[in-house]
Amino acid sequence: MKDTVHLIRGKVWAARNSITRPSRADRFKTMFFGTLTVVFLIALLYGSTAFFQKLAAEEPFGSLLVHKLVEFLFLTFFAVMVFSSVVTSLNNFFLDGDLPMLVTAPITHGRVYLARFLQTAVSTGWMVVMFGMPVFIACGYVFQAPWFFYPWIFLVLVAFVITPIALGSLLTMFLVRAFPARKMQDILVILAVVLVVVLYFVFRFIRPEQLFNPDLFYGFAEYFATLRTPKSPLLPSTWGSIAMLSPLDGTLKTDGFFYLLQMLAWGMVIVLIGTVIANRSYLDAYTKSQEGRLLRLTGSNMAQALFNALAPKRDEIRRQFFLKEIRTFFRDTSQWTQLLLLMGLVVVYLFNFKALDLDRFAGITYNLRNTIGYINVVMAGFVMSAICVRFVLPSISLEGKAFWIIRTAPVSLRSFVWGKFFFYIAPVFIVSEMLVIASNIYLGADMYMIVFSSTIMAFLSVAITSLAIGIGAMYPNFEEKNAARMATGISSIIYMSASFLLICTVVGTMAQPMRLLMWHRLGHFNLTGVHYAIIALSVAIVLAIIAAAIFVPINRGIESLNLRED
Amino acid sequence: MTASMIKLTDLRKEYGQFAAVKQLNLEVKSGEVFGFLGPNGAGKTTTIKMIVGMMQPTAGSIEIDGIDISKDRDAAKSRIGFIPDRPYIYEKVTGMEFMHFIGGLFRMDPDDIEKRGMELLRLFEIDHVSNELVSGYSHGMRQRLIMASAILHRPRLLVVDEPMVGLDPRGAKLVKKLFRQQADHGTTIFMSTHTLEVAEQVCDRVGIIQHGEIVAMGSIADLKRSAGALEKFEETFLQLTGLSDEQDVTGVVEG
Repeated sequence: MKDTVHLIRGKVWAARNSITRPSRADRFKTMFFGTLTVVFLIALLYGSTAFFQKLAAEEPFGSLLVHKLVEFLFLTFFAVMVFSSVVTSLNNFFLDGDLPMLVTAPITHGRVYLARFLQTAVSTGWMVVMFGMPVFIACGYVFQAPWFFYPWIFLVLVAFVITPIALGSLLTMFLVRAFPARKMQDILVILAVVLVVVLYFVFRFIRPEQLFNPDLFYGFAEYFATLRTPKSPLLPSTWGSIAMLSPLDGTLKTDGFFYLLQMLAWGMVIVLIGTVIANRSYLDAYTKSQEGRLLRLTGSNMAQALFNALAPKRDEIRRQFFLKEIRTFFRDTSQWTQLLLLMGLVVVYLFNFKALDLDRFAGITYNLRNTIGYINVVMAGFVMSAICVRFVLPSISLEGKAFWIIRTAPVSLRSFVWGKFFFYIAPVFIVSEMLVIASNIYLGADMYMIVFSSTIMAFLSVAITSLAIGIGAMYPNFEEKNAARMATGISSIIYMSASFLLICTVVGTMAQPMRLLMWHRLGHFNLTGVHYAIIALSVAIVLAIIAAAIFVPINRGIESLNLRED
Repeated sequence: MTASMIKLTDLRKEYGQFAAVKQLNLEVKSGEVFGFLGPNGAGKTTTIKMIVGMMQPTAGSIEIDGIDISKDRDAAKSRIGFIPDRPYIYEKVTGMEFMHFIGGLFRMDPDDIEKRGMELLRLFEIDHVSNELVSGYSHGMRQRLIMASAILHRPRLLVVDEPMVGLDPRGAKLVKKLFRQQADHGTTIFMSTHTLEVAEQVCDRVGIIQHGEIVAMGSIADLKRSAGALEKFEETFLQLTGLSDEQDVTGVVEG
């Protein structure tokens, strides 16, 4: 056991140091995400309380519904835990950078397994414990649970997560023997992304907002009560749900403790089996995990021909920048899994407009419909900023340690940075326009508004792209390999703030010209000299802001890269 | 063509209060293989970074083939091929795509890149993986790819930081032979190395830097002579850098 504790000591020290000796960026990040998490937890607590209150009021189903819901919740937790344990275990057991050091150390592989299992359990299980707590606290509050129910929630959740995580780790040991670890990780990440997108769509199609309609809610409750969830005494989700609700059912001493101990016992048995198997064959599985090269979907002749056709023809340097960028982008699975997720976000965004169906509401005038169409530029701008923060902002940093190639080549950093800008501008422009035009069509805005808002979006898309490139060049992080992690750094917070400010200023400044032109079009009045002056002044201000947003950050970024000394 | 390929005049680089390179004056002729030696932290890498245009000097000037690098950076850099000590390259491109990328940066004709690129990959014995992603290459294969790409555009100056790191004996022999041949065809090689044997075998002249200053310069034979005609170059090096005193390791060994 001493060895096992020692093996996780390195990770504990690293975590401790990042708390006790944080960098400025770390501190800022912790505060930002800490606040965000607390807000989310409070919202979850309130939402769950409201939901349980609604359930409690639905006699005669109330109590039955709670039981069904908790069973369903535990079953979901179980599936999610097994899946995410496989993904995390792959990295923790087979791909982590410090494994060669551990594998070659004079420590049994069973101990390595145990140490890595603990690491996996913490990094996978905290989510269920942290986000499960507010849900069950709300349940206890609504159903007037005794005081010991609240510490009990924590105990049950912790005991529950051990079994699925241990199963996931064990499963990984077998899977790695059949498939190369890297390839499997790619496949699993893609599967996870598809799962999230599908779940979101399922959620949207259920249209939860309709549950607030009393008639529909009753129908839903009745349906849910008759819904069969797999309830087998052999399933850990059944043990979890029975144990969790035992203080409410008055069966703590009989069922509660029994199932809690059963979860703990089975968890430990599976961990023990894993340790024994690891002692015998971890090295074999580890050896297998080193084999196999990464997925390569872009090596086909068709993909190459497409890339070549898209690449600029005249300038060889720009052509090579383009080709390098597009190849590395599509060969990095962490990039296109996120792309898939963001495509889902775009589709959901448009789907929401389609589902909005403004005609149902009385009092939706022509003016209001078009005003919503105009304000939609702000929303689309925010969506595009979120896309840029993930894909455009890290593009300079993604050069990583290979940045020396650009520094020593006879190419100015100016053409390098502008090359990045020209690579990203086309997709950002197309998606931005698609968002604004499609959502305006769904809203039923007229042609004037579609042209007006898409023109503003065209300028904004150029500006938010250059902001992302410029800020990315001002604060590059050549050490970080993971683009997703770069998107949570301090530069992303600066970018998002700057981008939001830009979008709001531009849309705000053009609001008056939009209104004047729309009223004129509707024949409310004729435009006078003062009106023309207002329109001209607004356009001039917006053009100046857009020009500044394009050139200032890119020039500052180039200067900053030029001054780098590493 | 000018007679000197590299000319460093009063070159200085400061990091805050600390001067990594102090008043460095150095001239390397065309077609010469010049070894740049020195203990750890002597200022070798800083000097190299300034020569290849990765770092601005605090003072002094750098001329490459008669071109002042501060005045026409791109023209100066187009004459240089650089081989760094650690082979960081784009992971998600194939070997041949990497050659195309580098060739494009040096404004080479795509057909020329294809032809010469393949020749060089063959020379460095990595042509069989030219269509594989770099992420699948070993350390030595990456080093070979960087070397091939560094001479792809036929540079007039090859700046090499630790050429033998990660290479097997066969690769090391190939590189030594290649440097010699390149020099015979007029290419200047500026090479920083800790492997004194390599310097002895390949270099026409060496310069020894310590605490940011050149402490000795000349042919290996000249340096040996100035140090008292020592038999081994290693002893000469240690003496010239003041590191010849045997450090007492007994305590550590007996521990």
